[in-house]
Amino acid sequence: MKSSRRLHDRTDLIPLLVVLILFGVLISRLFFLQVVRAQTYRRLSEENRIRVIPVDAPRGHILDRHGQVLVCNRPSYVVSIVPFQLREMERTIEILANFLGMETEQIVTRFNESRQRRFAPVKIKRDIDFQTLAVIQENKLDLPGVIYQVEPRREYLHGPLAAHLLGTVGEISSNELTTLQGSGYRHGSLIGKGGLEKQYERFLRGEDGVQYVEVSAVGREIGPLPNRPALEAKPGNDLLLTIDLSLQRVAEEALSDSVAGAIVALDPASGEILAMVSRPAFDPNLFSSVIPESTWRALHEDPGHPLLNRAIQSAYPPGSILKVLTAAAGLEAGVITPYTRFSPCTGALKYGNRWFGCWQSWGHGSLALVEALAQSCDVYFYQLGLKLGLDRWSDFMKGCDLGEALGVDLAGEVDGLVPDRNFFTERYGRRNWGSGVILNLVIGQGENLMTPLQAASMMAAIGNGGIIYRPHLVGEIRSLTGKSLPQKPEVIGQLPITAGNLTTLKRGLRAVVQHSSGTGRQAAVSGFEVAGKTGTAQNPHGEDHSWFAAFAPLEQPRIAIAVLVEHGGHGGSVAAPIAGRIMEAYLRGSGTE
Amino acid sequence: MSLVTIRRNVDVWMIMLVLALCAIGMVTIYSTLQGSEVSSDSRLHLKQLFWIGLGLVAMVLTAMVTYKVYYVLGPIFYLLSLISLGLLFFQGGRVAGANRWLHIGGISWQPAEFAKVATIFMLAHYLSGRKIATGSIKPFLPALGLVALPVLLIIQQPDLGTSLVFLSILVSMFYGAGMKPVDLFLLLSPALSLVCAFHLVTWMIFILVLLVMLYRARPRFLATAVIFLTNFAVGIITPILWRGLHEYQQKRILVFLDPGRDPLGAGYQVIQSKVALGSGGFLGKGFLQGTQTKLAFLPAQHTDFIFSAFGEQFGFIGSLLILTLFLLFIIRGLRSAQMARNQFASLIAMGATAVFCFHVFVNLGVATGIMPVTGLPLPFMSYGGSSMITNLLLAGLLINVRYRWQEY
Repeated sequence: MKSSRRLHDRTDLIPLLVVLILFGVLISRLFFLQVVRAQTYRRLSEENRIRVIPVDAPRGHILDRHGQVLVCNRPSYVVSIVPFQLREMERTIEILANFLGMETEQIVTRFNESRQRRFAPVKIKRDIDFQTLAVIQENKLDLPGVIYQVEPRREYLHGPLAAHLLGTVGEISSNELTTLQGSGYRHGSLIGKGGLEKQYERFLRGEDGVQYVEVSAVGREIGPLPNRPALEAKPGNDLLLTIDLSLQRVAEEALSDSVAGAIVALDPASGEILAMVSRPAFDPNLFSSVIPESTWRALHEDPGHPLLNRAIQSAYPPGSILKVLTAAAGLEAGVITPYTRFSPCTGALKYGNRWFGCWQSWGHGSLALVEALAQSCDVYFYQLGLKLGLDRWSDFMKGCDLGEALGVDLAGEVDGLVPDRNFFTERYGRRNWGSGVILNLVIGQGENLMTPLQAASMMAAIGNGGIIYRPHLVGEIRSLTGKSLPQKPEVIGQLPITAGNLTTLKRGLRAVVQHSSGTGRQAAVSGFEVAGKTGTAQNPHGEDHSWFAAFAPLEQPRIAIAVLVEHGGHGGSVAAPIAGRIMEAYLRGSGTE
Repeated sequence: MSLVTIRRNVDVWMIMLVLALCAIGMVTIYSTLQGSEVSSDSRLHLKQLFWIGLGLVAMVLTAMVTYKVYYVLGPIFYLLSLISLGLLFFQGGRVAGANRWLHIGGISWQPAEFAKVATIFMLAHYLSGRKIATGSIKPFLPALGLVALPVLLIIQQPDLGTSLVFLSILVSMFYGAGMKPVDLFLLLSPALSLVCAFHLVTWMIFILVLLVMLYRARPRFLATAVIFLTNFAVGIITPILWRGLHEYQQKRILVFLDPGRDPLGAGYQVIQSKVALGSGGFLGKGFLQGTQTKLAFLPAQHTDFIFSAFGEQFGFIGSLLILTLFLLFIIRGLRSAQMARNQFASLIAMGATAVFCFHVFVNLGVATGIMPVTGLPLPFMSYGGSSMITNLLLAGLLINVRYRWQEY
């Protein structure tokens, strides 16, 4: 074989030469390290040596859509212990505990939990006030190994405003530390714990820097390590939200802090979330400082669940706001036309041997679709539901992307629920439910579940001609060097409704607000045509939930909104005026933009 | 064969070198376990002894079976190793993206280790199976694919270090099969262009070298054009693509290529490794006297940085000893490759030797701070079952080839 001649040729020295060169490089490098630089390295190792001081990167800011700052950082002082330099541990910790107003055991626990390397400072107390700092500085000699550093601290400028979507930051937990190994986190690192802070953690976080300091055996800093320049911390990226601060303010004020509920306002043309409120709220600043155990427990055990973002993490029976889609299902299935009239409403309908009541006990008389929507006549929709049947109805609702999370850029969004045949069979058994369930479902009661975000998104889609956008809170991610990552609108679905039928629905929704007999008159905004739907959701926990969902103006809507007040009572009298106020503020305010 | 022939053909030298390195490794592992700050299992050196024992059995078995069996089984081994690499993707519970271990029926192993051996077999099988006219690179192109497959699977793990081991296998075996160095350079030039593209002057120098090489090799016009244009395009497009990436994406790639950029993680390891080696000085601090080691300043001291632990205790003299042992071992391996009359045998010896050479160079390069941290173990010395068994298996192959060098 010709080819192997080279290998049999023992005079071919190229491989040997390559090996010798490689080994030559290694030997000369080792000679350099172990002979030439031996003194330097011996000193470093004996005096031990190098203190690596991490420098926390400032987190990115969070701004509203017009660049108004919502979240930023301020400098704060943190007291740390360098394990390696700690002498007379018990005594030092006792003195320190006294100065910081902490228990000795608390310090010992923190110290033991997070000491990893002997030279890495362990943060003991963050955000200490200036006075405490001065005391520690004065008693420095009694506190060997105790140092203080400046670190950026998160500040939520508007307190509880938009707290649920902004989220919180806190010290990384041991669990998170294990899962995120290798991504640059260490004990004491701050990490997003909820909301956008968590969702966009990797953008907001930045890159920690590091200072190398040579330290003598007695813990005296000699100075920066030669040949090892400090690594600057790189600040995180800024988030530009789609939130409009002034609208958010109006919405926050519109929903009293004494109730539980949620508001979501969307831009129907893109799915951008303009405002999102959840009640009760909390102040995220509490978390970014060292949170006292008692405050933490109070927040977590509060029966009102203030940490829950009701706009996305909680689903409710939608009540009558769902009637608009039931109407659409009827039109699309050809079961009704806009002019179909059923038997007149006399205040109740008998099905089987049971009476199903209309909310207006004296009845609505004979109505066509637009009037039935405007007056929210239950009896009209019962009859429509019976003609449609459960399967056609539930398929249509799913076709409208209900019962499925929309994929907003916040963790914890729930799916809601569109009950169908399988659902009832699974829950009650094949024979234990009847076709009567459809009567409750078509008017949005019963097992239906919908989040306020889904309600707003539904209205947005009806208003914009049927396009379902993914709702999102972040419009742009901007790095300090000016690079930006715009988050484009994303179409995730299409309402299965023809243009003609959409027009009919819009006429119905308009009548809800604009017509003298409509249930949502209190949401009217003078000078603009508002289309909306009221909802009053029965629930087993007490008073009805009050719903209102709308969009405005009627043509080319600029805002879609959903308001939910838990146990608020009638949608028309509680939720509708709140929605009206917010739409008015937005339509008037942004009209000049 | 008479007993005398057997004795003459068994490579006693190589066996002695392997045993010496294993023994030194075990003693060093023992030394890293002594100290108040050390948290590892204090019987790791005994576990290592178990792996050595198991590996030696594997080595003897590998050496005894005639390599003709490997020639026949090569493609099957290769397929199996591809399948086991592929299985990693379907294994649940990917932790932090790094998944190198396959667990089947209570046994865990790293398919990438096995893939090294299998790829050597497959490549040797392919390259020895056909006549390769000097000067033509065409027959080598399918072989490129044979190496690329496992590499693509491994680089997903992600394990850059192990992927590069395959590059060393490729270069050494192509060379052994008769490819000219100039052609090798041209074949791998797009990859070099990619690396050089990040620095304009470096890249321009690279292009100049490429032109010189093209002039010297003078391939056909079409080939020349393709090679040059590919390199040129790679060099132009890379920086554009790079700038188009968002910062966090760039950072992820940079940390993948060089974990030392994370100054609190791997970068710190390198500093401490250099301090350990340097403070050892000429004669070393003495056995069990290494302060860096004992106080646990040195990370991964019984695995990837075992050489630094050794160097701290035994100094430059000790380092020289280790390097000499490895050098003798590698020269011995090269001899086996050059003596073997059978092309297949010669090629597997070449590939195995290259794997050792690459591991030693990269591991020591990391420990002395001249290369990015890649996480490659030092053969025979680092703690670890998978790598110990693979290395002894490869040593078994070298002994095998040496023993049957006269056979065609």
